[in-house]
Amino acid sequence: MPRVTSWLKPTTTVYAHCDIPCGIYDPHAAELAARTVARMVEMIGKLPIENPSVADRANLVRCITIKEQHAEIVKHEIQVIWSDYFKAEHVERYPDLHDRTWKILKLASKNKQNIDAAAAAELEAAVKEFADIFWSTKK
Amino acid sequence: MNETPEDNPPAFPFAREWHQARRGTWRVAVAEDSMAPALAPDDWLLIDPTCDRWPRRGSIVVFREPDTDLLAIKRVAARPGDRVRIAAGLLHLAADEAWLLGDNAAVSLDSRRYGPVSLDDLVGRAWFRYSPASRIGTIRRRAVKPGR
Repeated sequence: MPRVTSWLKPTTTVYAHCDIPCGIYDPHAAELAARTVARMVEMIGKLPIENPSVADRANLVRCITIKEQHAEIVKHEIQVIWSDYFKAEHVERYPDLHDRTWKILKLASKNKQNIDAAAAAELEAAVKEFADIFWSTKK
Repeated sequence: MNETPEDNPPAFPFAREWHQARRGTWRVAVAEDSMAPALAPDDWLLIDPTCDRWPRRGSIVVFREPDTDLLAIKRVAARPGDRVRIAAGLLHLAADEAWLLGDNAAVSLDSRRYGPVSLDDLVGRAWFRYSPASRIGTIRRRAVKPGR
């Protein structure tokens, strides 16, 4: 009988994916948000400084708003993965995980406060490394 | 275009279907809870991989999930040409798109997250559960409300 069941047992798994209890986490949102922050810094840099038109000023305000919102999204997404997804065994494997998370949160705040291409690039890179760690724990 | 013999499976009745069925995915195990109560984790299902268009509303389908490329299972809430109410307004589904939702809406990760699914990603229609023994039987269609 066990042989029959093993023969009948499906070899493929299909996922009735759910968000909450089964824990589907994904760092893509954080990566996208970090990318957006960098892009906004870039766009702000391209706006005219002398004699800006009303449209330019409106654009500036929009870019700043989006930059800050997305820096906040980075913080939120990273925090959720850090607190809800990572377990003790992951921290054992990556002892600098807490430190990395803390630095990303700090960096995101720095990007909210400043218009700094270097800080934006740093944030993007740090989030990418965080995402790489995330995916490596999925293997 | 040159036709090779592989493009034309032998012409006996249902040859193409048999051909596809042999090659396609046809037995699957369910993981996770978003199709509860219709499907539960560890249900074993038979899939009909021969369907070449979106089955009727309320059918359960297996498809490649757009963001992850994992195989996912959800219910067809709306078919090509249907309109779906989303936060941004009405979404008109293209000729090859369907809107797929999990029955357990509160937890399901579905078209509300990744949008409409293209026919290219359809793998098959779930039609029969062969395990657990207590719940063997054909899988029923069920009315679903599209949108959020």
